[in-house]
Parts: sequence; structure tokens; C-alpha cells
Amino acid sequence: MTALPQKTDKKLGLVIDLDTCVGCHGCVTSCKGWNTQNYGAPLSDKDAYGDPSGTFLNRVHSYEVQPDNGGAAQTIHFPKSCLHCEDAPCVTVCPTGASYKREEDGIVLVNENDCMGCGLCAWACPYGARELDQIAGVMKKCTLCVDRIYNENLPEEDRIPACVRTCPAGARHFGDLGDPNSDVSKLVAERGGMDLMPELGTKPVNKYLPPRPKDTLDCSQSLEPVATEATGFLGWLDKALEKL
Amino acid sequence: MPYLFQLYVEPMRKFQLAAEGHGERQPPEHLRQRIKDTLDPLPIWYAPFEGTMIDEDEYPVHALTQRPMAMYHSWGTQNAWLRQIHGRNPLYVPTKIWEANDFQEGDWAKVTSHHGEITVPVAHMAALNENTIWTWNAIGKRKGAWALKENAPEANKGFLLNHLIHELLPSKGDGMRWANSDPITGQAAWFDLKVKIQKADPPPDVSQPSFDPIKSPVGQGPDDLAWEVGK
Repeated sequence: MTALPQKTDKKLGLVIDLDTCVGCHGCVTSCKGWNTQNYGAPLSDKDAYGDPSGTFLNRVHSYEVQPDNGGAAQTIHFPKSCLHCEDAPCVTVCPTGASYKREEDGIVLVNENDCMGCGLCAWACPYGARELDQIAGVMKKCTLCVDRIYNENLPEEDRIPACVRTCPAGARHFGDLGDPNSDVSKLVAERGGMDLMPELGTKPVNKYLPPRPKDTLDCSQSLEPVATEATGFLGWLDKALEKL
Repeated sequence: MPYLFQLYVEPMRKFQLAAEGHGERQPPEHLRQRIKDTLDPLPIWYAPFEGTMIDEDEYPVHALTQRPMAMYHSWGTQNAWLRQIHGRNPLYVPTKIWEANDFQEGDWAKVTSHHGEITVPVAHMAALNENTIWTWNAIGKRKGAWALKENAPEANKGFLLNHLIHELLPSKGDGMRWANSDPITGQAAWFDLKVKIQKADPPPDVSQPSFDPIKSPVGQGPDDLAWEVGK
């Protein structure tokens, strides 16, 4: 059994916007690209050119939602990676001390030298966020790109997780969720950010911003009409367009 | 950053004006009407050409195909990773067609156009126009292609709509065959396809049509990968 820190100085994590994620898997590929060659063992693939099965630290699952109220069905793309829980069951279950949560920033990591690949942590994680690499025989998980975010050899704009850096939709955000004044905390407050399965008491640090229904129009923020009667050039344009 | 969104495209209007008889340079007579109709400077809609030339009662369903986004940002490294993101491509079928054909998960469908026929796995999708079916493009591979092994899902359950899409529009009986392509860009008219769909009973083992394997010119890749670039 491994102990969790009483508290952490920071709660670094991700905020993932399910409203803007388009399911392109850019984060999946950039994550694997960075993490196969830096922290620990490479992320392997078995039967790579047959019926493949490999290790990923971040996957996107796509779901279809059909609202009960008869609203339009919609596809939800749901990126899934370690949530760096405050009360991480994957850490306390570890028999060797390989799994640990950092006191300084809250990142949950695996010390691969101490990991014996027993897989208990993957069973304990209710989110399916850990994968046992089938070639290296050690547990792999999101490191929040710990080897990028403090890496002074990288340009400053690259000192964020690879998935956040690459997301073309701007659907992924990184920051300190323990600081109520951080950009990510404000975003969570503004958009009603959610914990995944809060009833399990894991206190996940990562938050998800819920998708908005696609078949309802919110007119509360629409512009006031600038004029009731169109005159001058705009009046002419309005008439000309109406004739089409 | 401000973005200039050009609704009115003057070069299009120049072509259209010529087709209307203005200016010295005139289009050939047999192209005049089509230029007039389609090279409009403003965004317009007109019925897909193929649909207007076939029996739409016989082929009532639109069939679309689009390349997966995952492959756009890493097309140069089409590899073991992308295969795990998109290794299978069922034909997505809307609720109305799904129920009308009494489809169940795991079923296969025969899809027919005026040009060809394919038999492929289906999956239900509610968030879809009720007269449209679609699938991912560029997943289906011929056996042996891309140096993939025989058990590759792309070469067994994967498929392409290409077999249904003719390069030319249907014959009009005037001896001229027109390209089945967009009149402005010349792009193949992938989105103009009309088909009919029915349950394949019994289902085949692999997507149809299925061709003999081709020989890989580069041998086979390794069974397992553990990439550590730069070491």
C-alpha cells in the first residue's frame, strides 16, 4: 500500500471541452508521439500491421446521445486520460510504491523501476485510464507531460502537455485547478465544468465542460437590431438582395 | 484576427457573363448552359447531376464518404497508431433506413448504385439525415496493400464506396459523356452518389467485392513496435 500526500501545493490538470472537441484524435497521436520516446518505456504496439493492439495514454471514445426530450441526436467525442485524482485509488492500491502522487503539483506518476506490472492499479482506476504495456510489462499512464511542462530546453509555448499544444479545436486547457483565480478554474466555473463519476469519491482534478444541446438556439446574447428602417447604402443593398 | 470572408467571387461571374453572351471570348455551345447555371458568383444549391440523370425512386438514398480527421494531421505517418484509431469502417445507417430493413448490430448490407454493388457491415447512427448513409473513406484496403497482414481488419471488413462511383455521368444518348465531377473545381463528385440499400442475407465473410491479395513490394513490417525515436 502506498500513501497519498495530505495535500498538494498545486493541482495541475486538464480541462476538456466536450462542446468543441470534434473527435479528430490529434491529441491521441501527439500524446503517443511525445510519450513513446521520453518518460519511461516506449508505448508499444502488438501485431502492428495485422490486427493491432497498443498502449495509449489518451484515447477518444465517441458516443451517440439521443435526448429523452426528443431533441436532436448528437455525437459526443470524449477524450479520456488520467484525471490525476486527489484521492487516487490507483496509488493507495500499489503494493510496491511505484505509483505515487506528487506533493508539489499533484501529478500522479509511475516509477517504472519499481513497477512489477501486477495491474492492480488499472483494476482500481474506475476510469480505465491506465494501460499495462504488453512489451515492457510496466504500467503506463498520462504524466501530464511532466517532461515538457518544466522543461526549460523547450520554448515557453511548448511547456504544456502535448495534447493541449496540438489540439486544433482549442478544446483542451492546462493549468492549476487548485488556484481559483487560474484561467482553467475560471473556465470551469463559467461553463459548469464537471467531475467524472464524483460519487466514487476519487476527487478528480481534470474537469470536463459539458456539450451544449445542438437543437436549441440561445437568443439571450444576440445583438439588438441597429435600425428598424434601412436607409442609405444598406437600404439599397437590402432591397437589391430581396429581389434575388 | 479579422478574417475576410468573400461571399461574391468575381471570377465566377466573369465566366457566367461570357456564358450569357457578354464579351469576345465565348464558351463552346455545348458547355454554355452549364456554365450559366453553375458558375454563379454567390453560393447556390442545385441538384447533384447524377441524381438528376438516374431513377431516384430506384436509388433514393444519398451515400457520402469522408476521410477521417485523424489521418489529416498525420497522413505522412499512416502507421500502426492510426490503424488503431480508425481500423474499421462500418456503413452508418440512419434510424429510418435501419428500421425499414430490420437491421441488427452485426448485419451486413448490399448497397447498389447505377454503376456497381458492394456488400458491407452496417452500424446504426441516429444523428444522421434520414435519407443519407455514410462511411469513413480511405480505411478499406485491398488484401496485401500497404504491406498489411492478412488478418488486417481494413482488408476484411473495410471497404470503399469507390466501386459505386462512376468516373462519368450516365449517358445522355448524345454521344457525349460528361465527367462525374464538380463543374467548378473538377473534383470527383463523391457527394453526388445515390444508392439503394438492402440487408445482405446471408452475410458474406468479407466485404464485397473482394480481390486476390497483391504482393507487397516492400515485404512486411515487424510484428511488434516499441518506437523510441532518436535513441
